[in-house]
Amino acid sequence: MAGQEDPVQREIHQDWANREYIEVITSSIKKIADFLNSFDMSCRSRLATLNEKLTALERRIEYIEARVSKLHTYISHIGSAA
Amino acid sequence: MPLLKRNIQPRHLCHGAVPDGIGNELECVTNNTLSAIIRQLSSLSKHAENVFGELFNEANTFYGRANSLQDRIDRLAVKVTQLDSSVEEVSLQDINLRKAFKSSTVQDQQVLSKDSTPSSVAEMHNSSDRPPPLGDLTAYREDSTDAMKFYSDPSYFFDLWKEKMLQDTEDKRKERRRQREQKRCVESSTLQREVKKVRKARNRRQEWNMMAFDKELRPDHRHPQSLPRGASSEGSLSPDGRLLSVFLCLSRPDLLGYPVPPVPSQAACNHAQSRDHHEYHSIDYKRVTYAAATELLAADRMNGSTHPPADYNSSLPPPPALGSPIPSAQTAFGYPLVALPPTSHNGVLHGGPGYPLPPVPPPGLHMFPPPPGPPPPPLPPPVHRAGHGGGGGAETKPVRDGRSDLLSAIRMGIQLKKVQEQQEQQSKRQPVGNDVATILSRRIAVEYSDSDDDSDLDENEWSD
Repeated sequence: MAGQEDPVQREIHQDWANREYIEVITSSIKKIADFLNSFDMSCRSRLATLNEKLTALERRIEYIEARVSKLHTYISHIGSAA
Repeated sequence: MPLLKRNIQPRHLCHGAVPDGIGNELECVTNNTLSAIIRQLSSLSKHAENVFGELFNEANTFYGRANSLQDRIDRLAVKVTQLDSSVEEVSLQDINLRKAFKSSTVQDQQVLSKDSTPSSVAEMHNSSDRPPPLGDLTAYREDSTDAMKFYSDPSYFFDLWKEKMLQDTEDKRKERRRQREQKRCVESSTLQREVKKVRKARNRRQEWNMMAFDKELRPDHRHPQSLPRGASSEGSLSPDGRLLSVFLCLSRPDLLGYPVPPVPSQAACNHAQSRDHHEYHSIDYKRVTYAAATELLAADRMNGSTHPPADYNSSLPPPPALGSPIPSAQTAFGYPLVALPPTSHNGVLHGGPGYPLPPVPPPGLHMFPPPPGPPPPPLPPPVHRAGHGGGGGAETKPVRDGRSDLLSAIRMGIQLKKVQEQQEQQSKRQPVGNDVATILSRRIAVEYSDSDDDSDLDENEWSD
């Protein structure tokens, strides 16, 4: 009787060990998936703030360019007239 | 609920069936689970690569923009240092010629469209079930609308909004014109008022003549359902409706067979009234179709009064025989005005006395191909008339043969007008860009411009 139980018991023990192993692997897969999602979200938010800053800078530069070119023509005209 | 963007397959690790005839089933399950884990890892790596690729592309675009910004800043710095030196530039005139500074207001359009979906979402969409191939039924439709649009139309809401915007701009334009005309007319105010008074008197005379007729000869007798509505509608003529009715009467002064004008005029009045009265419109639309149909039957307008006694025996009513004298004006006014009501109440239209209006409800979904919609009604009624013509048509047939030339001429005229209307509407739509920005800008221009409406609109049409 004990001889019959041992191989069965061993199989069941081995099965439990396998299941624990599989469980560890699947939980780490879930952690990787969670990390990917949160990384994606945080990256997108940072890129969005970058985008806002870039557009603000671009508009300021356009304005400054217009001012400078106008000043340029004025000054050169005055310089040529004087 | 968050939208599923990326799905890791296979979802269930141990759910695979265990094949028969295996000694150690526990090991078999374990091995199957481990192989499923490996597949999950592969799909996970694929999704991770997708995620990083999207982020990388975005960051790349920002890198390009930042670089161009850096170049501009450098050039600006150089230019500023050059200000002191007196460089020969152009004269005063050029300063005035140069356009004033305007920041480029580029509006992002089509941000959330089919083209801008991320690749993962597009994959999910492609892997889902296709809609049934209803596009094959398009060949069997009378009007050339895609049969799939009745099942699933991705551009439905945009088209609806676009038509509404265009209609609103047209309405505002017309209001402006009316106001301008009224302002001009106020200058000669006394004459206008006298004329208006005369018109009102005429209407009452016609109403009394209508009442003078026996009940049988009144056109409203035909529609038992319409009696309560028709009576109330006749009593509640708005000033606009009266003006319109008078306009119709004046347009055909020779046709003052008295019972004749009030019916279509009041039908037109109901058209001109607010669009809140759905029921009136359903009946008025039928009157319009009657008018359009029977103008093919009763050719002679002066003999129109003789027809009603004969045709009353037949099953189909021809009060429209009375309405025939104003065919072209009716169709001209009736169809564009009636185009909108059928959309709002498809269900109400069925409440008529079994009149052939099947082609109307399907175009009800579209607000603005009404010209293809209304043209079918005049064509099937003649077919039905030919079928019912055996009943009371003995007297109408010889008359019809005698006036066939006039009939065909009228038919051709009306068909020509409809084609013209179609072409006009199509030509109107051509310059319209499918941009939300242009449509909105046009609408706002019409709303906020006091004068020079047309010039503003032209400018908006040609600028993107």
